[in-house]
Amino acid sequence: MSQAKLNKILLYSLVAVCALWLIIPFTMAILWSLVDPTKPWTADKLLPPVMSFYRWQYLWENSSLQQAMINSYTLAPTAAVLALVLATPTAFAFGRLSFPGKSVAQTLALLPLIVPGFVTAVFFTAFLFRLGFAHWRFGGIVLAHCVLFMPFAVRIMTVSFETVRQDHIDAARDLGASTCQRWKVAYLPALKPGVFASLLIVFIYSIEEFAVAFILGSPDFVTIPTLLFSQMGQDFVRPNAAVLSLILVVPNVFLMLGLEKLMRSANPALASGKG
Amino acid sequence: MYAIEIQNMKMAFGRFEALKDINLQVSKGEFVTLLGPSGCGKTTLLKALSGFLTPTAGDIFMGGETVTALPPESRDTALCFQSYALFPHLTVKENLDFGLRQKKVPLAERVQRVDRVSEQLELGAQLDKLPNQLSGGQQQRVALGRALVMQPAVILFDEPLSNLDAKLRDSVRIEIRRIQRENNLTAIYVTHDQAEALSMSDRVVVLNGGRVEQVAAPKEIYNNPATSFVADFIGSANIMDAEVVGESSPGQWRLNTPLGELVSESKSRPKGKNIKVCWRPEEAKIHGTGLNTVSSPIRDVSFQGAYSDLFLTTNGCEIRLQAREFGLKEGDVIDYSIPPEHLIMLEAN
Ligand SMILES: Nc1ncnc2c1ncn2[C@@H]1O[C@H](COP(=O)(O)OP(=O)(O)O)[C@@H](O)[C@H]1O
Ligand SMILES: [Mg+2]
Repeated sequence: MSQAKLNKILLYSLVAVCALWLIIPFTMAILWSLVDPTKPWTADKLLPPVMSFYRWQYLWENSSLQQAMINSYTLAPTAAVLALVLATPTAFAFGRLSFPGKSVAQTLALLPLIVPGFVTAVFFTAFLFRLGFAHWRFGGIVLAHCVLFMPFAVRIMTVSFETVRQDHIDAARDLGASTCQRWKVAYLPALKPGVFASLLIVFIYSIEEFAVAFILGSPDFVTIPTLLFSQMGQDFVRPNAAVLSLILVVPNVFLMLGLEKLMRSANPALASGKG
Repeated sequence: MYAIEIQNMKMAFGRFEALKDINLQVSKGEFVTLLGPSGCGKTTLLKALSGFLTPTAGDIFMGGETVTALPPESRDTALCFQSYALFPHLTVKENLDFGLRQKKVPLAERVQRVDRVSEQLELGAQLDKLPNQLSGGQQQRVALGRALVMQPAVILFDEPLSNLDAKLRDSVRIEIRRIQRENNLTAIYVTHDQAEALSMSDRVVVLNGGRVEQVAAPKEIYNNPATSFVADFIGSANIMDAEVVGESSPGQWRLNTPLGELVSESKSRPKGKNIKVCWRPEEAKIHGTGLNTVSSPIRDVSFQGAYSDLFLTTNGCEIRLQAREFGLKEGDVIDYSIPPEHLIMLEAN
């Protein structure tokens, strides 16, 4: 078999595996969310016998789903923006300056990523409670998410800062640009993709985070994941869980696709490598 | 009053001295090249002139005023980067306009100046393109235009042609010189290419290891190198050790060299007893007779088109000659003579 043919087959099988990996869970989730309570979906049937939007309507009207969505979709963007703002100065130092102990500092900044989430959650929440965040649960969770996921933002923004070209900064200066204008013309275009990527990553992790949100938020502050897990806890209703997981994941997919487009248009220099 | 005057300038990075005691005066409208091997401090000197580096010692004056402490954004200089450094997300027009906007030039004048420069550089058709849609030569012209449009008191070039292919290099070189003359710009041009330096400059500054070896017009640099470094770096002269024996008649110096006793004609006295001497491969007369005639077998012949390079070893001394005669071959013994006025006495050994 020729090399090209082999490559083609490998490529197609990879695409197929990826597609299945996405399509099967999504299809299953969608089908389960449409199961009508009057007739259960038993293992001997390929499709649910009766399909309706009953579960969607039921959850929308009879659970804290609306509040959970409001909470999650205010939490995640706030955490994303805050993490980006806090990560940027550190990333600037890592990406543009040289100072003694830089590589140690860079490793330390990534450390939170390797500690299991639940361990951090248990101890970090105790710390936050002591700081008085028991009375402002939203703030506590935002802060916790920010700290937990900032390493991603620091890492991404460090790479972005490294791609800023010194000769662009110098050229801007040489042509009389003020500090502010230098940032606008030399830094921002190179940083844009990193900014979008950091926002998205922290947003997605925050939307999906359970441990901290559960410990800090319970009992009265619900997010989509804590609602989802509570639906699983007492008497597990698979169709309800399917509805919630779809609500959790669908926006992420669209965000991801949107980001891909934005990144492509953000920096023509990265698209061609010249300039 | 000089357009640029550098006084006793030193530049150190930590313990390393990149520039040692630089003195230089450049007049208005002059085109001066900084020539030297890689790492000799050309870029460092250019950065000191544009303001990106502050000298460790000494002063820089432009138009009679000290600029040593001025940052780049406040200096009346414009730098043409080796990498072009065009802003990739701005169109050609926006790139050209960028500096004028920073300096708050009125809109009408900005438009007029950008138009003029894009016409001068034939960039009219490219104005709405992004830099990465242009060829290397066009990008280089935009970089040039972006500096020109500022109408700076001093324009600085850092090896602007090094990313272009040989053919394009010649035409851009001529173009740079034409525009510099047309606008009566004072230009400092950095290069490590001696042909570029000799063909473009009013004066050449030869740098070596952070020191100025010689400052002179191209012809003077070539015909009367001040040091063996200059003689070797430009046009690879034959360089030999010599011992001064005495003055046979006024201006005629007898020298003991590996090629035997030779005479050098010079108005100035030698700089010591043991010195270095040099002569150009093309100045020796093949089949010459009389004064300074040497006889030697040919070790190697290398055909170069218009001439042949002959390589000889005389008394352990490697010699290069240029011959317009093409019948010579390896092993032939030839006589050649070095005209005394072309045997140049250099620094003391
Ligand atoms: N920022 C710096 N820190 C330390 N050494 C430097 C720095 N910039 C240049 N040098 C050194 O100074 C010398 C001259 O450099 P440069 O001016 O770039 O040479 P070139 O003539 O090739 O342009 C080199 O040996 C270089 O390593
Ligand atoms: Mg250089």
